[in-house]
Amino acid sequence: MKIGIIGAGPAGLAAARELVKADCEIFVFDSNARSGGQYWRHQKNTEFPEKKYSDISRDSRIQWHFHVSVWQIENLNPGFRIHYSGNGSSSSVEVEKILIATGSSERTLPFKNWTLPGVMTAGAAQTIAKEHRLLPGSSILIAGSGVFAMPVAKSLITLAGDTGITIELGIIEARSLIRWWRNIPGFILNPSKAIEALGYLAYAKKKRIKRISRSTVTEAVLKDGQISGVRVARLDREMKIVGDSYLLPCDALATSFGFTPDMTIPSIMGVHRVFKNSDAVVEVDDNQRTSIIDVWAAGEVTGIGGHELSISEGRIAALNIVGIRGGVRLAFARWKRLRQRIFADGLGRIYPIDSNWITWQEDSVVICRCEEVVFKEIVDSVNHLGADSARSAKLFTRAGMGLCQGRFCQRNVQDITERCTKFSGVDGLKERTSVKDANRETVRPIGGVVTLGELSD
Amino acid sequence: MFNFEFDGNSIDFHDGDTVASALIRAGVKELRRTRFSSQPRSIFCGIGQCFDCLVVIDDVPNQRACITLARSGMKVRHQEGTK
Repeated sequence: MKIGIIGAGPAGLAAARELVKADCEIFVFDSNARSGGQYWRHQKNTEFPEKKYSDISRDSRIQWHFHVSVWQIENLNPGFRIHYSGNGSSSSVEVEKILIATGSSERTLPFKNWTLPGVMTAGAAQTIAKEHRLLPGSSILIAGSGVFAMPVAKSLITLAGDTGITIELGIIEARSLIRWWRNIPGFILNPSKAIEALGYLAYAKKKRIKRISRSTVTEAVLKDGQISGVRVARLDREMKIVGDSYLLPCDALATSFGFTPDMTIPSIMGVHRVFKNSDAVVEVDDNQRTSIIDVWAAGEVTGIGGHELSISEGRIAALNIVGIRGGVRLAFARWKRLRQRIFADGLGRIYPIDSNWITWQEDSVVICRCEEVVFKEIVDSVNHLGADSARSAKLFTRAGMGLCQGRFCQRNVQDITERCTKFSGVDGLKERTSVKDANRETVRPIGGVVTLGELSD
Repeated sequence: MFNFEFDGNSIDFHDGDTVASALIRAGVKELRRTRFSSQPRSIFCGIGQCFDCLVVIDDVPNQRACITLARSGMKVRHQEGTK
């Protein structure tokens, strides 16, 4: 049986490992230069992350396609033809079944001057620190929301310690630590996670990481073209700004508001998508099957949940692909997935990104970095042109049409159009409601940038 | 230690460096200017997804500095706009 796996992160690798045991012929595709996805991307000098995946790295039944972009998947009914490009040419391969395991992208929220050099995602700060031993600055702030700030802070402090550099580090978090009570069931079912969380708290205390809760960055402040600080504002429980903002000095800023599922491949294939915590995700059944026959999805494309949940989902998908319908192994994998999902859902309750972030914005703040579309243009497209979704706002304003294909703005434009349509009655326009349809919001004809030269061969 | 050229200046790089990591280590703040408002940009996502760190490499524009491995002798240029 020939199986195509899109994405070589935790979910894709776990599935490949399981499928090899059943003697399948596997084709793995990934846009990165090596396997591991975002979670294991920093394991330098090892071709494959974690020991248990090194046994499949040289398995002749797996064909690895790295540094490629899957730009189209044809449904041959039965079977699929996967078109992928890379190194200046495009090729295709036919498979019987497909597993979508394309994971998620970092979510960022816009603020004044966030496009300027010196501001990067927390993921970028971690990447340059771990892969290239580079610090983004000597007085670094990590601003945003969610659990990712702590591992990034740890990477930066460890590198500074190794290289004998003194740095100052602070975390600005939109939510209060008190909210952790919302995940008590998750911690009870996943004690290792509770230990990990306590470990990070102790680390932050020991390393004197400054932690500013219930606050956000509203502006990167410049001096002589360089970042000299940020404006910080206090937030209430609904993530609305309360009181006056103040200036905090820094020379580098990393920002992260969690992760959002990458809907590129699900959209071009047309598998059914639904909203989960306001993110469009692939809808799957108990066996990780999607709405299309012979297509499965696993990992963060089905909802944000971390690498351990992704591994469980990848394994369950693989077991189902090879026709295992019962038994101890499947039952155990399902139980594991259940308790990991309970933990992930709890985290979602602690760190929801309220669409009130749009009330922080000034008209001139860039929302779409590629096409340089500002906040006011998107609001106007709703109020005056009748945009009712991120999709229609994109057609009016070009937000999301640039080279990144909307990865960094689509989710934010969705929040803006949703909120503006809710209040459009104010403008004397007819009351309208936004499109609450995950399938329409994420529709897309092709999966990536492909040049005519690549196609012509 | 190896080196490549950036706007005529020699930039040293280590084995495993990308064009972006070598330039950042050398103190280069700005990799390109945007097409409409000519704003400076550097790396943002660091993993090849955001297309903000575009540079011209050996006369080919729109190359992502953060995922292009540095090679000896390559000629890298600051990019004006999206080509």
